[in-house]
Amino acid sequence: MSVNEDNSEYGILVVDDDEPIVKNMRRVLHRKGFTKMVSALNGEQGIKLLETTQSPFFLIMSDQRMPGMSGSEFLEKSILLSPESRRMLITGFSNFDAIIDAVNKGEIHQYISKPWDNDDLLLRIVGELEIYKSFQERKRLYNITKRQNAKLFDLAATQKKELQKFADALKEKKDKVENLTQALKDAKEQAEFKEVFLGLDELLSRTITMNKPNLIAAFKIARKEVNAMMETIYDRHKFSFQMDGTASANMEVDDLDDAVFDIIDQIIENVVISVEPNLFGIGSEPVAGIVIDDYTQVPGFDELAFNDGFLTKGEREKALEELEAKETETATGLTIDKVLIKNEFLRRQDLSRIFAKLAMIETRLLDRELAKMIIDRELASKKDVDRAFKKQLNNFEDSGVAALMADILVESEVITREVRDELMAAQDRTGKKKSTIDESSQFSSEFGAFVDLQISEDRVQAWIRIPKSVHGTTDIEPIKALMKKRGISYGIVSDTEIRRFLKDCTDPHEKFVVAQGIAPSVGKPARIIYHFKTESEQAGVINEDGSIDFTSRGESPFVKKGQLLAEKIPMQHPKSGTDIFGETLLVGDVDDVPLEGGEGVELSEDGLNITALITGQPSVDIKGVVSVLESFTVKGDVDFKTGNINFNGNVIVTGTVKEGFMVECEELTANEINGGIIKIRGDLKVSNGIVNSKVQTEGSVQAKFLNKTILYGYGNMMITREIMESHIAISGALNNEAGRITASQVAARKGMSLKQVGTEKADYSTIKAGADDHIRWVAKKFDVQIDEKQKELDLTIARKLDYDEEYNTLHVDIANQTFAQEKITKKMDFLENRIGEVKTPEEKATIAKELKELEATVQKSDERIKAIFEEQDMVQQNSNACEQKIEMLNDEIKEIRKEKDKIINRLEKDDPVPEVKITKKAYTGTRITGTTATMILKQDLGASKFTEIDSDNPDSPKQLIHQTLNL
Amino acid sequence: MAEKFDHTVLIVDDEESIGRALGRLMKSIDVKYVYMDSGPAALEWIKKAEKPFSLILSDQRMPQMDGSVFLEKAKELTPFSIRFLITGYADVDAVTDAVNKGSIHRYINKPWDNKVLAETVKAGLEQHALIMENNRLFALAKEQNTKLYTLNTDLKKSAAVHQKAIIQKDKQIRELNALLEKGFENRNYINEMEALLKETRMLEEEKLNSLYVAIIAELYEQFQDIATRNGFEMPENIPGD
Repeated sequence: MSVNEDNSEYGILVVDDDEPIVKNMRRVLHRKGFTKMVSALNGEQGIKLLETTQSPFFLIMSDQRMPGMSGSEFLEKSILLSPESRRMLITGFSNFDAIIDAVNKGEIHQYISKPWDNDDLLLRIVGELEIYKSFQERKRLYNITKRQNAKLFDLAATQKKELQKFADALKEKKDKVENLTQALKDAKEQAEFKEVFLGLDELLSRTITMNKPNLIAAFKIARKEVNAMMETIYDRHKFSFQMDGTASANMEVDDLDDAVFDIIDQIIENVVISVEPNLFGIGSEPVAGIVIDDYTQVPGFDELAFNDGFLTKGEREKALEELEAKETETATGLTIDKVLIKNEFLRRQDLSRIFAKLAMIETRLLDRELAKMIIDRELASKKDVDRAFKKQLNNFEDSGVAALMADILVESEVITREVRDELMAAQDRTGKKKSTIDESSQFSSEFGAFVDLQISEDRVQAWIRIPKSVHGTTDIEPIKALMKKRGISYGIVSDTEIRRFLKDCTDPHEKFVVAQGIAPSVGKPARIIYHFKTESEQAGVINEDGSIDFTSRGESPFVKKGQLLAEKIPMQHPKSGTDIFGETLLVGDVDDVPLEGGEGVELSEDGLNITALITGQPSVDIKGVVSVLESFTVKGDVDFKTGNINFNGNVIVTGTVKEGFMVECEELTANEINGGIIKIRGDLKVSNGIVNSKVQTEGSVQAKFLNKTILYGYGNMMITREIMESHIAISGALNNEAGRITASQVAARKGMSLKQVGTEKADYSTIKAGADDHIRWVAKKFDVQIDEKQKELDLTIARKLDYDEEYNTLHVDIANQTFAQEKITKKMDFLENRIGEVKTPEEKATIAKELKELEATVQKSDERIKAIFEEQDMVQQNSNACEQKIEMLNDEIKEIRKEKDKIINRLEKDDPVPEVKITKKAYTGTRITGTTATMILKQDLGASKFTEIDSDNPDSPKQLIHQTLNL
Repeated sequence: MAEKFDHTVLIVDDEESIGRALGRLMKSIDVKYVYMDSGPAALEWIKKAEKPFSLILSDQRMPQMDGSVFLEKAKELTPFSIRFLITGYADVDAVTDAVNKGSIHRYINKPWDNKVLAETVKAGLEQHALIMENNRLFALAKEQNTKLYTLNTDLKKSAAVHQKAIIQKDKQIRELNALLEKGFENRNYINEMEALLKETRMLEEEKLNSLYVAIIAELYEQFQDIATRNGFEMPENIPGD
């Protein structure tokens, strides 16, 4: 047998306790190039191998008789671990029944008995490899065809969609063409029609409603056109046009002969024809600017509706026409408003608005007379009356209710009730006279003095008051009609109740609620109550020298297992209401605050309580997660002995965090930090100084002094002594009331309380109070992460596109190969037919030879296609992998964005405090900055306070002001 | 898979009794068979058969043509049939040769155990079914690929055709719009009036001035007439805008 075959990619697992046999097996397998052979001495070992292997075995061979697990047992177990492998059992006996039994049970594909013939063994293994490959191929082909199917389906769907889209688009265009053609035809007809001038009267009555303002407007348009025409002609002949364009009607006209009058007629005719389209616009716009007090008499319903833009000219005319027609038919009480509603020219709610305004206009007109009377009789000053008028108008604008001015004057105690009644009687407004506005209701309406229907400002309640004259009545219909007219449709009380009120009412001032809507309820945002101190301003005891003693626990909180840590008062959802017009009243949503538990705590099932699971230090982090943490104590320094520290809890270092060492934990308490790198999620408490270090903390910071250190913190910071050559950006407040800041840049969003900034010699410092430096830094940190992910995403998307393109290229390659094959097959069919027809054996041989060559070509092409399919499969897998990665990266980016928003929102929740208090001295050159404003001290200042305020200067909306403090 | 597949086995042996015995074995496993007593006869049959044999079982020692030679030729005619060679101990060389040429899948040593041979044949039939299934899938994959190709090309083509149609309609719409705009445009009556004035020798500043006054007066007169007819009066003075 030849040795030059390479089957090294196909692994074989051999399980046999007989080592010489295994050795021999390896040698035999080498002959056919099976160089990847792994062996195990027993079944257990074999299983372990199968469990841990990275590359699959195409063949698993096992001896039947082994200590422990038998070969067939092992092979049976291997099915689950390596389902696609071929399995071969080596037996030492020739009890075929037993073998066959094992074969059937263990999905064993081959068995061979000892001693075996090597050639036979190899032939069988090669045979198994072929079967294995066939199965793999089947799997691949199956996937390919499945995928193709899906693509075919998609394409068919796309095609259908495209066709529909095209059909729709085409139809749209066709319709347009049709419309345009029609329009063109109309235009042509119109143009022809225009040619025949029927006279000014005809033309005008065709285009405008004949009334005075319209005719004047038409005249103005025509005159303007004459002016324009004449100006053009004058211009062309360099004549000077003397007319002022407002040429009036009664100009003197010289005697002109008839020929000139012909010319004039022709010119007028042409002018009027050319301005005809403009005439259509006359009167179609509601007359703007007509307000309540502009009316000198109560307008008709349709007039007001039209003036206020509820109706178009056409609608109004149509309704009036219809009304007229109906009135001649029968003398029913049909009114214009009913016609308008019926034709849906008006909405019901507008109807009530128009009636309300009509009422207001009427009231105002009467009240103006009344006002004159009041002033004449000196019952009140003009100022009082004007004020009452204003109140009346405001009242109307707010609630749509036309309150009587006399009532307003009574309410503001300008006149007495008696005077009012007298005045009203004098005006004949006490109710005997029917209102001019609504004649359909027996008791007049809300406008007159009869039933007073009022609607609360929030539109949730309507009530009536009834005058004595109708006390004791039982007819509720007028009231119901009144409500309907005002558009009240929701929450109306029962007829019985209204009837009872009408019957029993004796007091004309008694209010009766006829409709009650549902008031919306404003929600309450969720709130969390912490049962431990969430901010430990001063965790330790400050010694004389400024160092801080954290050994006594000080104020730092401590809880026992089982203790309640936080409670959430859930938010109260807002509820929308419904007004008496049946419209929904919406209210804004309120915020929910999630209560989240971290390490060492338990969140109750209802999500409302958090209790401690362990005894330790409670904390709530920047994201609002409540945890209880255990402590880990480093006795001595963090250095080469301890290495970097990364602990999921609090860390106490009794010594120093040394140069180049990193501590990552929740809360860190240390004696000193010298050259360390600190990244913590909780508070940082340092008894002495922080020197040459880099610190990032999501909690607050306490230390004796700070030197050559870069620090970013989410919380407050207290330094008892100096801050030197450091860069600080925190979102909290800085307390350095007993220290001194030199040559540093310090940004604290919640303001600063300092003693001294600068010295005679030191480099200048920058003090930024209320500045967002820390927030920007946090945002940037997230942005960098997002950028990185985005870059990776872009790259992956590009890669996926490449793969997809490659896939398509391969797809075309295969198609081309297939087409070529088809051609050859056709030729072969032709040749096969010919071979029967030709006579000579030579010819037959030639054709046979050609056929054979063609067949070889087809076979080669098949192999090529298989290879391309395989490649395509790989490309598809890569594309799928990219797809998955894209999805993952998108999720990750979304997650980071969410996290960023959450943290930034929390940091920005409180307003910045742009305020610096310096109790001793601020030296020249110190730069002080607020949120945007900045100033540099030109001289040394004593105890001072700097505050940023809004300025009037639009170029710099903020300015810093300095106040001297008297201490 | 084997159950679904309609297998036929070709048995080739010069000794009819052995052929019959093998046939019985096939029957016992529910498989159809064809028996031939020599290589050449079997080859003729293969050529004529409508459907390829799933498996060929041939004895090595036959007078007209050796089994290995026969199977080699059979492979050319029916490459997807599984080929087993039945051999005696003396046939080592022939077997080695056949194996190396890849013309046989397995050889069965005489004497064989019927049960073992039945299992081996079953495995061979399964393998054949697998190969045929793969061929079918491959053909299907090619066919679908072609369909995809055609569909894609069609889609592109029809998209182009559609676009052309839409563009044509758009053009038509543009033309109609242009026509319509032109139709709506007021004809330039000023030129006509100018021509009229020229014709009547009115194109002089003086004359035009009085003409202008006359036009406005006449216009007002005409409007006033209409107003009167409608029951109202035009105001005496109508200011410009």
